[in-house]
Amino acid sequence: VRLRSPADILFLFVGAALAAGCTGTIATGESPGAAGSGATGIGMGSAGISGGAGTGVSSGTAGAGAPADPNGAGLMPMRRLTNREYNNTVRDLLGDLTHPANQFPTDRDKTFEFRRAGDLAVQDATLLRTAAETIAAAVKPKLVPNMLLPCDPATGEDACAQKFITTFGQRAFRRPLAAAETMRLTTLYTTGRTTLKLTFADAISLLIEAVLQSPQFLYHWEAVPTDQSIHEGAYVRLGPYQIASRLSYFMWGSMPDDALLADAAAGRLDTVAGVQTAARRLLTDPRAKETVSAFFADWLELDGLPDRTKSSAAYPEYNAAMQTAMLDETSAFVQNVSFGGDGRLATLLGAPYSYISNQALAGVYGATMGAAGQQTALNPAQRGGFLTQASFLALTGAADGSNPVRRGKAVYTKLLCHTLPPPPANVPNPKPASAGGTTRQRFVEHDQNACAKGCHQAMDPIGFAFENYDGIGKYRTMDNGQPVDATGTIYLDGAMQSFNDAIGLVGLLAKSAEVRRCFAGEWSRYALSRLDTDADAASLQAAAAGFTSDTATMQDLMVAVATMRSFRYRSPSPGEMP
Amino acid sequence: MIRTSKTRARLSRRTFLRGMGASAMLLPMLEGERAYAAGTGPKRLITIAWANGVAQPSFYPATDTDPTANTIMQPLAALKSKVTMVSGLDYKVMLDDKRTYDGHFTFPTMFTGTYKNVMGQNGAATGPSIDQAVSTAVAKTVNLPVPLLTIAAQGKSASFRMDGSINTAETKVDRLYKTLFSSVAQPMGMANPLTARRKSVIDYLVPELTGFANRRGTDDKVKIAAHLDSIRQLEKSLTASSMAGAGCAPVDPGAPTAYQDAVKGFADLVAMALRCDVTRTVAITWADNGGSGPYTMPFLNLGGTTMMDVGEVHGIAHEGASGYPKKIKIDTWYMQQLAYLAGLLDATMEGTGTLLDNSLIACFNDMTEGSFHSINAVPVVLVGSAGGALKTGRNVKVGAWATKTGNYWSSGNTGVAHNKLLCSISNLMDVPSTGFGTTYTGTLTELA
Repeated sequence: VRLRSPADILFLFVGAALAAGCTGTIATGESPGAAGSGATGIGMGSAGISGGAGTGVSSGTAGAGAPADPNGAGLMPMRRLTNREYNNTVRDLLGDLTHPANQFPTDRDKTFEFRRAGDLAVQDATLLRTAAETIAAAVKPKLVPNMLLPCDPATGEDACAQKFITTFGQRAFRRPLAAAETMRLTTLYTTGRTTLKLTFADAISLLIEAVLQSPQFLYHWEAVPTDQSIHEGAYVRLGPYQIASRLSYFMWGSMPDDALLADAAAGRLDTVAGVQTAARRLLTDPRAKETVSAFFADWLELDGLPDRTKSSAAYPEYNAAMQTAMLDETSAFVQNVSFGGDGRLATLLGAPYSYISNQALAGVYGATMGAAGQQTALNPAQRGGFLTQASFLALTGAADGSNPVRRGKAVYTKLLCHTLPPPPANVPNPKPASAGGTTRQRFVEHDQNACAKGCHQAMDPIGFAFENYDGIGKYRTMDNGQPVDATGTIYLDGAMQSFNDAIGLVGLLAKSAEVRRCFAGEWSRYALSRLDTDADAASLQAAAAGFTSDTATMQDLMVAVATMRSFRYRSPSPGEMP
Repeated sequence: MIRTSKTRARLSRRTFLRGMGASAMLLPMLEGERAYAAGTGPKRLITIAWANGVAQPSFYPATDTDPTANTIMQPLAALKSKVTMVSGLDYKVMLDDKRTYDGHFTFPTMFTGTYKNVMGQNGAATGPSIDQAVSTAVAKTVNLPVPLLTIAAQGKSASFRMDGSINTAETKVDRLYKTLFSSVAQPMGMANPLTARRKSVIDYLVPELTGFANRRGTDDKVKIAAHLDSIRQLEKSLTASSMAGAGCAPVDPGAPTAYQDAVKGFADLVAMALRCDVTRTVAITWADNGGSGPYTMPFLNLGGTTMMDVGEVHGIAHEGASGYPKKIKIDTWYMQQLAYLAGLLDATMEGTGTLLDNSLIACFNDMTEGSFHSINAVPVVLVGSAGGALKTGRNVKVGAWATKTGNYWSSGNTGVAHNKLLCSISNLMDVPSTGFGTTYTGTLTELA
């Protein structure tokens, strides 16, 4: 449901599909990973609305069925570099800072929460070629000794080309080259020098152009072709270079550095302890901060904010610059809490401060703008963590007011990892504000509509917590001339709990084991770039276990994810030759 | 030689394209093969996908003999003898899977006649869209620079490859201009260093891709095959040529960014690409609310004072009858765009007729009505006669609609599978077909 166009969320959830939901027997059969994802329910039936796509173990009942196989690991489908990974990789490989992948089609995948590149069609191949040609042409001035050349061509051009192929090839393919691969690149170099009559530098540039379009560069499958798969029982252990790339692309969204490739070569990534050490090292690099921002942006779908138009009558200050400032604020916030701050979930969900370096945005908060990277104190009665930040509230707000359904749904699906059935047809919209009454009154009336109760009992009482925030996240105590009522309830950790407002809600979320499990599950799926399956149950439990304590940090969680079994092993793919 | 705009205007189109270096390596050889009879032109197919249904009472005509006889269709009035409406087609392969109200999720089905549920409401195609099928057939005899041109002004492509994977769409007008007309501003053929360089890279990539699939699982092999297929297409395009045609004179459209400017800019480029015979098959997405976020059309001044007051198109569609005044503006605007594109083609003479006469534009909406997302009786407008193969100037009513009075359809599953129209289109385009997509075979006999 999260995948429908956001405006749909206004159009509520009733009807045939939901009739079952009202009796607590909603079907979840069409979702991979649903098995064993027992529903926690929403306090209105034994099963309620839960399970389904992507909830997997994180819905809270891992192990309810058969015990999790400690050696299990799901499939590892081959993935192409995402746009972010492409940009970061050409930056780290060649110093290209032009973000060429910003020209590629979006890699939002409607069937997954996080970004994933699609199949490669003609248009994609054309854009990849253009990018490769542009990058390779721009890099030519750097094809000199001590920059991108590992040797001086004056002492022998062909030998230098050979050395370049070996060293650049290993970095671009993120593993040593097989002899046949080296040979084919050598052939291309020779073609460049002879048939195409290129200069030495231009022939090297041709190699770069070709490598940037090669499958070894574009896809994550960093096994040396001549190496056999490492079978251990029913599963396959990833090779050292596969682990290295998994680590660096998870932690940095980019290629391994030389030290990590050296770890792989020396066998230091063959043990959990070795992976842990490497993961801790990667976390000390600024690129890891950027990953935390990227995770939150994808997870909360903050990239949708630029499409979120608002009434200029209601919010004259809202514009593209403010949207950017909102996104920057959340990015700076999660980075600062995770690196330098205490890194705790309770802080991410409860901090009465943020990082606001934009004057107009400071106005939304009624706060004083700070310098970049400087903490801005906020009113603790009004603000606590990322769910009370303008980015989230504007994204989930309506064009001219709040929107309890969208906001409740975001918490319900993202913080609790529940899924909802598709909205049915033909449900009248809630009345417009001009009909009178507060937003809450109008939505409550709407929700009494037949079986709309089913889904709305799950979402709206959570969403009402945010009634103190208008369409762009400004705090308010009055709505449409009447006092705001932000009280509500949430079914959490097996019990119905109530709160007085958003601050109360985020306090409950921060203490919830269910939320922790869900959050760890989201990070696990992000790292695996796929939904979890039964075979991953033990891994997700392990990741969650690394984040159980109140004092566990974001970095602890990332390391726990990087060391889980499913990150280092895989099931053999159907049709795969050993 | 220095070419001024004056001298250039006198250059033959072929010379012009050579000057542009339009990958014309085998031009002399292929030209003979590609000659078509005087007085005719090659057939072209353009599919257009649009979204959010229509305000039905203002869409369907009261008469069967003038498909443009209602408010929304009025922009096409001048072309009414070349327009065909088909009323009463359902996306039946989805209805059969009980996707009754999944109008936002019909893009994979719309031009493929296939459907596979992937997850939740998301579906996938399992075979080619009609544009791909026609393009593939054409490519067996003609090597066009761009065998299939896929464009999206908003949202995702409705074009799918033979294996059912999506044909990624071009989304930028300026970039498309370069792809079509000036990708190689160099001498022609392998004498062109860029072409030769690209060929050497492809010669390197092909064995790498083939080897990369070794030992890999079935799903990965499919991905690599799709990749290799795309590279092969790039390779083929290196040696493609295009032929002279009336009115081939590419004009740089600049880089429009506003939605309405992009839609128009794409139409201009499509018309020019067809005139220049750079392509014969085009798949356009105007809008896809199921494949992307909300969008607005501020140039239509749809704003008001309600919750939807930003004029969000999808929200307006959801309002049903109360939103009709705005929805009619939106739908009419889209039919203006259809009329604009058709008009460009109709203004190009080819032999005794026009380029439009040699074309078939198939414009499908993703749903019936935006208020309930139903996928039965979807709005279908055809323009052009595919070289006289289609009898035009009619509202062809099929299935339950044939005996229906009025101009509004609520829901049901009593229509005719749209696969039959896709099968008819294939045959109209001279690509013989006994059935298109899955489950439902045969042509739409009512079109005969």
